[in-house]
Amino acid sequence: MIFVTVGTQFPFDRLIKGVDSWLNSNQSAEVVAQICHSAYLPKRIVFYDFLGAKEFDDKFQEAELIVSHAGMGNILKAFDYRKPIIIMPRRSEFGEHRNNHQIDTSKYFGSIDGIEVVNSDQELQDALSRLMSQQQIEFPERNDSCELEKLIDNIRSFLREG
Amino acid sequence: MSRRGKKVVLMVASFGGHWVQLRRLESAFSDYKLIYVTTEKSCQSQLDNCGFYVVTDAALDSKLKMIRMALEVFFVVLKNRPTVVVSTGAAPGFFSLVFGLMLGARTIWVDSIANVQQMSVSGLKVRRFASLWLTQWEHLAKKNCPYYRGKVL
Repeated sequence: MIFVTVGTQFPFDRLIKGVDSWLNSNQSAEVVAQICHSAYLPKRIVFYDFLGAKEFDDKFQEAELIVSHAGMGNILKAFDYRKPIIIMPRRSEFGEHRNNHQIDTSKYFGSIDGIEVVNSDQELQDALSRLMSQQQIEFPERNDSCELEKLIDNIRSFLREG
Repeated sequence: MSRRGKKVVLMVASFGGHWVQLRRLESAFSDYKLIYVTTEKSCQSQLDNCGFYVVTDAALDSKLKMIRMALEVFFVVLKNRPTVVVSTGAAPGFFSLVFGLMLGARTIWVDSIANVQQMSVSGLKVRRFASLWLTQWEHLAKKNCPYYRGKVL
């Protein structure tokens, strides 16, 4: 199953439309989407405007591939559950967000294995076809939680000082 | 101080990425009683043995909602008298640090990792209310804050 999620702040019609049109030529794929009141209603996708925290986590874990806006919550979850993820940054000029910070986020995270950044509909179509034709799509094992440990340790020592 | 005598930490974030990042900081506060504040009630299902409050979701585009949310945050802070207030963003976190500091708490701002190019709007505004003011990007850190002390990754 492919789980498509656009977060809870704004809809993201461009992404939903793109996945829906990919399904025209890939009808066997199963897709579930959380669309946040998208004006475009997908024709080939099971969709929800919103999913509660638990339902959301369940779908995320069930999926073999995640397709998402470039929101940090979903990127971090992809790390946690080791799910390969396609991210499309929102663009303020299309009214998809207040600013273009998702483009900056994508530039950084796009260099990490398991995260695929797509900037256009064509790139989205290509990435979906390429990843779904692979036998197994994997999110590589990572060994870099030391930055988190460092942050936790630093907060702890800040608290002790007080 | 809570009734059981444990110090209280107020953990505040709006739903979504901010919430996911905030949850990752939890282990830093193992000696505290945790009270979470967010904008989405279903988050409670993820929590075990923590206090929990929901406040109005408000962004810069709605002043009225923002005032309402600020009041809600104020009452949570007033009622629980936290020793520490922590937030990863956005608007509810800003107000919780302001009121927290006013009422004697030590305050920690960990700016969202999504802000690669510059600190978030709420992150910049909160500066003088944060006892510890952090960015998650080394290249955004400055000599006298924001500091870089690691990231939630």
